[in-house]
Amino acid sequence: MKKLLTPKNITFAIIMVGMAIAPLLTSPYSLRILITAELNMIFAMSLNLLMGIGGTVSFGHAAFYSIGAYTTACLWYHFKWAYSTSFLLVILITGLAGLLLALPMSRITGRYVTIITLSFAEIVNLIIKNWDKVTLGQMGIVGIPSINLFGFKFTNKIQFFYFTLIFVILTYIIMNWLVNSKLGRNLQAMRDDSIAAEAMGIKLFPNKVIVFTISAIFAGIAGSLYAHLMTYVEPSTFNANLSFNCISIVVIGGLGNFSGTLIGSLFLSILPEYLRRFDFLFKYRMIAYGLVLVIVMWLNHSIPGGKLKEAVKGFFVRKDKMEVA
Amino acid sequence: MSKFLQILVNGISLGSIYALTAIGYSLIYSILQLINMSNAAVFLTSAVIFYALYSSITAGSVALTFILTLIAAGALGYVIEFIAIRPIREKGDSNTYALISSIGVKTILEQLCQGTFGSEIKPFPTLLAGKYINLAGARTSAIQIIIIVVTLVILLGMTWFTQHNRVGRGLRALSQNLNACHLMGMPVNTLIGLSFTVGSMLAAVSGVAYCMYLSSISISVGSAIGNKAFAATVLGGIGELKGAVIGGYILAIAENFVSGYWSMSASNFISFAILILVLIIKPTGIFGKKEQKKV
Amino acid sequence: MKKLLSLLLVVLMLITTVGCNNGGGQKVESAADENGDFHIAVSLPYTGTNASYAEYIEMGIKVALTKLEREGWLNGDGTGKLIIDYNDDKNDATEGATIAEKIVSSTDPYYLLEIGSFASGVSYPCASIYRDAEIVQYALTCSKSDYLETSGDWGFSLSMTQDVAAARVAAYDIKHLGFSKIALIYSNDSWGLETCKFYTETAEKLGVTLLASEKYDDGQQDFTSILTKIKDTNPELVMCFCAENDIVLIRQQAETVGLKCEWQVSSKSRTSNVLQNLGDLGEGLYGVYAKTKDLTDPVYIEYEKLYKELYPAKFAEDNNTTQKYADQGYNCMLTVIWAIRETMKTGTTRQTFRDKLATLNEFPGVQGALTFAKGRKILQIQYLSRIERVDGELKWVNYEDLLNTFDVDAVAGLK
Repeated sequence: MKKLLTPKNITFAIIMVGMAIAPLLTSPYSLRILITAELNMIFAMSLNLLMGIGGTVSFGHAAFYSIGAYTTACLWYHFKWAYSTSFLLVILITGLAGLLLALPMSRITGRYVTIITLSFAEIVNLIIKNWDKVTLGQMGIVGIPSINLFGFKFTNKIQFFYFTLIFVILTYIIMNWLVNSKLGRNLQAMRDDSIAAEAMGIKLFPNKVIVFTISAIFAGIAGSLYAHLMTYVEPSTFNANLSFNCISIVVIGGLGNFSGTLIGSLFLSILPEYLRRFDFLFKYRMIAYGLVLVIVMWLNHSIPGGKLKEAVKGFFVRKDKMEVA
Repeated sequence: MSKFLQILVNGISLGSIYALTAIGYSLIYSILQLINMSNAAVFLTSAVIFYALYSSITAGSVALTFILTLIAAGALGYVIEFIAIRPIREKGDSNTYALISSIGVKTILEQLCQGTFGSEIKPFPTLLAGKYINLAGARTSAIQIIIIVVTLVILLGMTWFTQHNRVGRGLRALSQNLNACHLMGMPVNTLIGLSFTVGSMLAAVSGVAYCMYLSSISISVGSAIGNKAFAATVLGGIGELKGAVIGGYILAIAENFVSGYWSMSASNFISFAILILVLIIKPTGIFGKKEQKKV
Repeated sequence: MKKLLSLLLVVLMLITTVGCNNGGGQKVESAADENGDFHIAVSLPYTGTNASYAEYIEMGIKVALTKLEREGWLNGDGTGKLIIDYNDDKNDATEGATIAEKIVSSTDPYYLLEIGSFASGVSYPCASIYRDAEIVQYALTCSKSDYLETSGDWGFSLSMTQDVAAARVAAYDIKHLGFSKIALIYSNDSWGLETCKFYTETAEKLGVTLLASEKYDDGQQDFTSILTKIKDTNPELVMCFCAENDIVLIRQQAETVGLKCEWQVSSKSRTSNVLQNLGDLGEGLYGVYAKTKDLTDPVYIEYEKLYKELYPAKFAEDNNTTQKYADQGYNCMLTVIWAIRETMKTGTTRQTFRDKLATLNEFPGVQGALTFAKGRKILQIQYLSRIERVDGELKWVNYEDLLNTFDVDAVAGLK
């Protein structure tokens, strides 16, 4: 029991309780913002597993998000599958995509991973754009129905909100369990010093493949929920900015800190809407958004105090810093 | 045959633009291991500055406008480093922080450009407009030849700069071991700021050259180039001048041929596919040296 | 501690963002507020690459509002104002949907209708929200052929759908101008794909197979490779379904690769901007366009006068003419004002407003009459036009008499 009462878990509990009562108090507008935040939470937690625990900065996480969204959208469009069945294929296909991306990782390490993930996302996006027969290309898929679970149809956004909240909680629990499992410990050892880890008998490649696959699956789930929320998907939504936004959430929330990611998601999902309040910012809203990013990084302290420890050593931390330390 | 040559000529001139931008990425990446996302925005900003100066203060003189633009871009590069990167670097934080910061800078610059310039296309002054040379059936415009020549001159200049100039050698030393440089009493901060200045000036040259080549400017000029130039850097091998250049030419020529003989959508696909393939076969890029793993 | 503080900050942000914006969209007697004013929400991309279009539409809306203000608002005595809230959707589907939810759920102010979004990619996800809340979505620039169906009864658009527009272009090209060797360049987006599909279909019906049809992705700047490819097929005409920025690049780069043929653009890029940017290269460029702004038409005269007064700089910058998205914005507001006035006697609600707007028939707009036909499909005549030298100056010239001898809709198989 004591093990569970860590500050992180308490923060998590506070956020979840807050989220759970939110729909009772607020308008559909804020509900919408909160749903967006929830999707960002699942999406960013999956990236945090890769970045914070796996030590791999992925620039192309939007690829898995889009694969998830398109899997469920295409299955509905071509075969009229309900969410309860297409969900299984979402897991399967995004998992396979993660596996595919992980394969070159046996040879490629460090800085080159970034560019591989970036290219992978571009390629996935180009396939979606041009595979007209399956994805309808740029026409987009219109009229995706609300979620249908074994015949139970969601009729309003409040149901959708709670359904997504369940996924957020599940994701958080699974992520934390993973971090403390043998896999998580292996990954952290690899992240901190891959050569030492290898010397200790940890096989790098299988661990990397597993973490990529799991991370891809959760990003895919977030994407599939997105498709049903928006009722419409088109390729240009899943551009590089989606990945950058996700990285920003993870970094602001603190690498390897999952409850921080929740706060980061809330912060970056509300911020653009919050800036709307200021009329003088009207056309300069995104400039203000950019400034906030710079300032937060400048202050060095990620918002919830999840200061970067030795998290991404060997990849993004400067060499001299490592050697001095 | 003339189609083949035409595509080749166009590929080479586009490749020159990629190469110039790629050197800027490569320079900063080799020193800080940072993908400087703001580079593509500097590319756009300097083209906008050139346009604004040319249509107001320095109307008529391309050379004067160009020099002023270079100065402005260089200063911008230094300021970006000073404001957005240095504070993070000095605290010894992860470069992921610097990366997000540079994304922030990119957003700010792009939005500023869009706010001041608007989103419509406008005519851009070009050199020797309407002059063409026939190279064995390939119609080549004067500006294409100028771009290729300028690129070659800058490459030679950069090679000299990094091999024989004190400052250039300093930058090379930084890319090998930042910490040792610091201990040796080198002005590390100034040098890093300078690398941003040089990177931004290169982006300015390519930005202005690209708009001259298109003889028009719109705010979407930088968006496509950024990723491609970075891909070119990695393809050639990070930290290698010639790598960035060769990478740029390979990508541009391959793209042009695929879209000339197949389709444009496939051409975007092909550049990233080439990149992944090369990295799988030779993970350090074509000219990259193998990284030493230290325990 | 820091974690708690930041959490508090986030919660505070959330609360202030939402403000006292509570409640849902319950049915009301009249959509007007206690002062008798009506509220209209606008959602357009004020940031991003489409920002200038948003500003033009806003200009058109503001011109219409100024006109109404000078008439003494809706009641003629200074009461019955139209109050418009502008929102920025960044051309982003997620943000667009969030704003839609905000507009729909707001009770103070209570919005009569929503105008926007600009791109179909944003209008589509919002359409279902407006449809379910039963509020009119006036997506004036949406030209996708299944938009009206998707939006239930609640979507309106002032843009011709592509099944009509593209078919007409093909009929003009093949039967009137007599081209048989045609190549096509189109942008790889929903609009480009639809135009290409309908153009190709009509061309085949009229016995012409296209020599080449090349698509390009958004943000493409260098078109030399596809132009070289097209040059190899020796076309008589290159038909471009592109945005106006792209046609400028394409036409200039065609010179670079030495592609000599006739050129045509769709109505989307038949603009004064293209004319201005192409310069001498533009001479002979074909286009398809709505009725010329008629300098004897009282509706247009009034509009141009106000436009010139409010936006003199923009007016001069655009070759002394009004911009076409501003025209659309103005037309849109005119029809909205008309529908509100018509329903005011019996009480304007979202429902009565929609029902009235759907009956729009031969309404005098800036460029000819506007009619919502069956299924709210907008009907407007389109003419062939071309850039010609008139008194030494290049101008777009509409061939309006042509329709007397050439029934384009019959040729295109639309009747």
